[in-house]
Amino acid sequence: MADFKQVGQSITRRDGVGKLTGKALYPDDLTMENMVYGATVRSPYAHAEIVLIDTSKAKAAPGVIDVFTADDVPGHNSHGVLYKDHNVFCKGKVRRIGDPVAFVVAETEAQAREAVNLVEVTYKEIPAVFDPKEALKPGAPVVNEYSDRFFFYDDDKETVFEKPENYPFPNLLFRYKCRKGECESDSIWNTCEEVAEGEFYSPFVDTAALQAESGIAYIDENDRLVLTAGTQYMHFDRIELADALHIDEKRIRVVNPVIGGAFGSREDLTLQIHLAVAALKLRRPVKATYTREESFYAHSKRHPMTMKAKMGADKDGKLVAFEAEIYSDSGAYASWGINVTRKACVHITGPYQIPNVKIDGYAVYTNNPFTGAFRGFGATQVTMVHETLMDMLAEKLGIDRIDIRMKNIYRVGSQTANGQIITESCPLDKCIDTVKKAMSSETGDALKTTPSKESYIKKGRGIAACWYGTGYGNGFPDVSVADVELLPEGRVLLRAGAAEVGQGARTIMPQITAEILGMNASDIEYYSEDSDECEDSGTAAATRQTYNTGNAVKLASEKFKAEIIKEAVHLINKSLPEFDRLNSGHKFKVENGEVYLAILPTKRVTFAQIAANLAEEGRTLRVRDSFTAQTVKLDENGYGAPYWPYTFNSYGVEVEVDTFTGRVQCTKAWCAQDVGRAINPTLVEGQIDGGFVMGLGYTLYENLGVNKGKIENNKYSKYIIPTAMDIPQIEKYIIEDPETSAPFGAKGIGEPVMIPVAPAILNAIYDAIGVRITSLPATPDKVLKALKDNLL
Amino acid sequence: MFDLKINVNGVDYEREIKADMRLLDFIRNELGLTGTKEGCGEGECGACTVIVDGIAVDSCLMLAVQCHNKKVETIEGLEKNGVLHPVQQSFLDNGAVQCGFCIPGMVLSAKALLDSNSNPTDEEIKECVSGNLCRCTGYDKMFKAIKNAQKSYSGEGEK
Amino acid sequence: MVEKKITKAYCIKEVIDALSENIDESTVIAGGTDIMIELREGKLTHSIIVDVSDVAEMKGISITPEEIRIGAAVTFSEIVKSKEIKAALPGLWDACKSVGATQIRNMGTLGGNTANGSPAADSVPPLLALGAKLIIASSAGDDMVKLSDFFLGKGKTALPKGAIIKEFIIPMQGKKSRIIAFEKLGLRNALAISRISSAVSLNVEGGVITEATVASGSIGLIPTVEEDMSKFLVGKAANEDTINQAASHFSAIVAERLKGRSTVEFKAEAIKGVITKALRKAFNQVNS
Repeated sequence: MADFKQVGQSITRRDGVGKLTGKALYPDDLTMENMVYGATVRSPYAHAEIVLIDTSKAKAAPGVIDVFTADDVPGHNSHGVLYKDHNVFCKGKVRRIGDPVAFVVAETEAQAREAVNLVEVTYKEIPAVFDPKEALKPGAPVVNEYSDRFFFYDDDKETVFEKPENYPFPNLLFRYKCRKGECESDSIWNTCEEVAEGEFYSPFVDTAALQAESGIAYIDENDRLVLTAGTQYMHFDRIELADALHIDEKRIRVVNPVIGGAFGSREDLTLQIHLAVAALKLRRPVKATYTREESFYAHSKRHPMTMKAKMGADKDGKLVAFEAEIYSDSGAYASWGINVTRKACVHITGPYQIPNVKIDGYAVYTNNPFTGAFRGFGATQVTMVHETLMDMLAEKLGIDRIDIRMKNIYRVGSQTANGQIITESCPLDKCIDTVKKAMSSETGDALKTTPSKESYIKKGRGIAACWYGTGYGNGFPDVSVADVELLPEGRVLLRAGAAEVGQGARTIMPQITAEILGMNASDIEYYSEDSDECEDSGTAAATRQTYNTGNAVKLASEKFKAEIIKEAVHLINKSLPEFDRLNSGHKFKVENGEVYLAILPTKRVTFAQIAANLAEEGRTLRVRDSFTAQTVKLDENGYGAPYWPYTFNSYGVEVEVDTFTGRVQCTKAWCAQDVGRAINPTLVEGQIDGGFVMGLGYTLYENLGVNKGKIENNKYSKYIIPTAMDIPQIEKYIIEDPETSAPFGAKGIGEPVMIPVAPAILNAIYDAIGVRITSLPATPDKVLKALKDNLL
Repeated sequence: MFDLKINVNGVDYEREIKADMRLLDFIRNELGLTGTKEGCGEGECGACTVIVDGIAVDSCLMLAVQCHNKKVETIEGLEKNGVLHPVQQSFLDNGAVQCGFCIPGMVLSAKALLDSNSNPTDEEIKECVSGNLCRCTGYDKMFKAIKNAQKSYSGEGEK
Repeated sequence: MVEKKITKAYCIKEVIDALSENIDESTVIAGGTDIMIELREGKLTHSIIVDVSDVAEMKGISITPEEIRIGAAVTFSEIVKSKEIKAALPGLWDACKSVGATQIRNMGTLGGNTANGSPAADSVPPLLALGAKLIIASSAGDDMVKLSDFFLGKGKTALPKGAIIKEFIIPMQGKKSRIIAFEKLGLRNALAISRISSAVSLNVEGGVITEATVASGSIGLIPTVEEDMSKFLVGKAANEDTINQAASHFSAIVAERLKGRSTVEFKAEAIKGVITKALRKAFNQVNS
């Protein structure tokens, strides 16, 4: 590859200084003249009919201006990222604890919060269901009878296109089926030398992003509605607002303030429409900020999954067959339940070639908190399944845990369970090798530890290999748009509607343009957080911004480069007599804000000169381009190309298990992450660190403690996430293997960096103490109980 | 009501405030210094960390009244004449910032440590930010940033 | 919401006067780590709050061969910074270091930790094990109370209305340092609420335990002096055998106390590890 000047450089974060000096404005930092405050009335019941809402006392309370309910929503009282099955304000019934019922607006925040308690809602409790398997039984309470779903399921759980009341599985949201090879016949299992099987559980967990939901809606001087909250997808929020407010999208502007973390929990709307409904009626700026406790109820959770699987191999350790069944709890609303469950089902094979595969997955409505996008999007939950079974097989067959993986991993040319061919950029072998070498430095054996100082502390090592498909996937139109404009004085402005949620989109997009235009990234001006300024670049999710929007930015920048060369030739020729003019734009270079003829560099003009000439001629130079990712929808047997590209990684860890108390500490970590190409290595490392630590919390600590729909651990003192004292030394290895369809070969890594952590740690725990934890998190009580049971 | 005398970032203020106002609300709402963040309201996340008389505290767990006649430093007071404080500069240089919500508190915790101990051990560095939760960075680059900031401290005394 | 009245006090007299204004309606704030949460949640019913964090008589640490006195408004960080406390009362020092994280230790006080009456208060088990006494100040003057008599039930203490914990007195028995060890099981390494904790103070002569006090936290409703454990240890040799026996013994006590609770299986098992580590630390102090 060519030498890069901007790509591959750890350029300093564009938004760093603002964030370090306190000048960066997050939604709760904004205030406006004449502003009023809102607070939300929420359901205390998991499933209940709303008999009556009496707002009279609340309306009469000091400072209260108005109270909004479903009747005050001018347009459709619904929203949702896929199915419109959320109510803006619940009407008729509530489906979960915390469902929004009304919104009180008052002169001060305290007054609004006090008046929330004065809104009298009469509920009639109805039977609720909290277990996905129970919810699938005939006669189970119907959680979400919303009739605008695309399809429901019949007795065989095959698709039918009818209304829910006619069929016995109204709570079944999505059914995944994959059949490959001889998977239906029992005989295939008889050909296996060894079979490993197990049942696994991933609980309700939360992104726990540091900034709780907050926002302001107001009507601007042009009578347009402006919403500034924090979202991963401005353009989608605008669609949802228009639909609920019954006003034209053109009248709505969504602006992102600085966002304090997202990880998926800012995809479904929370307070946005509430603010907008109130602002539209009151014509005053309306602000609301959730408390931490409320935030835990308001946004989506990771789908809890019960996963049963078995994996068989021949005597050499080559995988023969794999079978899995997944029950995924969507809670009260669909959100991304279909897509998350599909992603789980696709990824549960692990990055391994298996000729015979049978997978069944079910996403089910319950009266639990609703679940949706969360870093890893279903793939996080399933890695403990394939990596545990892999280790179990290795043990049964007497094969080294690393060797068995090397025998089965995807390589270029491999076919997935969905029949998709991995055509390139598949350096998983290199990831595993890198981790193996690094881990071997201490004892000569990657999976062997040095002796422990205390006899009650048992050390162990584990390794995991994973894969992750980028993008919305499954044939869904996955489009990003970017544009580049020449401004007066020759400045260059890049626009792309990709939300900066902390991942670094604001830093790397200009890097790409700078590379193409031979400029410094810091000289590229960039707009990204305003739906008026930028076209739709899709959501800052699905590990897709670097790949998708990066591609759009690259295409638009290349187009801009071609255009500015034309303008340079035009300008040079303008003052020349006809026969002295340059013939074409060939052999022109663009560098440092100048365009020149490489074979005769005196023929040059600056961007500023071109800009001045354009102005003189009454023209502008602004070009746009878009990129659409290529995926193919799965058929009824799970055949298709659900994602592209795939990213691979391998993590190794060392743990210390305190056999007295059952506490597990992760003391060392080695992380090899395939990135295609690193646009900004420091940002890549930051993602690995952050993903590792989030994975560490998921593995050892985190659990919302959902009990009959109630979240017991809805505060930071109870929802335990890792502190600075809990993390190991994290060694990071960036593995580059450029992908041809990606911008400079760069693939996304935002989500995959989290997914190998849980299985690596669980495998290390087994290595240390000989017990398998299959239900997360691996808390002291579970470890101690497993140890005790193991002794009996 | 309470007649509060307080020095924030070197500026003396005299304000009549509601007596049960949290220090955090005083800083954000009365003084408009919104760099101090509220992440949990229960002293768990440290996003609201400020320095009172040289000591890092959670401003959500303190009444403004408790700081009567005291000196408070917030993130807005660190940058001087457009020059970042060594801790800020080091966080920037080491890529220790992501979403940024925890950063003001994190920087102040680090500053409080380095002000009182210019040569902390790795363990002391980890400990000084253990009351500041971060969900993005995994802390690793923060440790490096604080360690490097320490170099700018040596010989320069109190910044 | 009615605004609370806050008084910032600088001496005990101001505290008592402020509390006396309406003893039913008044309470005290020091570090604020508990009371500010109640205030935020609207659960604080008192209308008068007296800030004692800068009360001079409550801020000192004094050390004599007979006793160590620690003011109730001394913060955990101040104790952690005290090399003298670390040397004289290592288990108390450990416990204070294990509280929350830096900011919480900078604010939270020994007095607040005790007055709050939480079974999970980290500094309380070592104080109990050491036989600490409290000086309680009120308009009637100072009163001395044994810490072991102070906790009455969940969140309930023997602190009379209008009174305040002024000081802790830890008997030193004429020694430079006492054998005191503390061990805690939290779920993470900082900001960890104790799931179980235990403190052991001992006198050991010629390898035999002559005096022992074991105290526990988070096993039951209040921090507790484990009389039975104390008796069990006296007369035994300070060795691993004793530790193993003590672990089983303590486990049985916990199993009995928590019978029927969902945590019983875990805590009855984990207490073995906690007491084992505490006793090992204590025995190490014998030899040092």
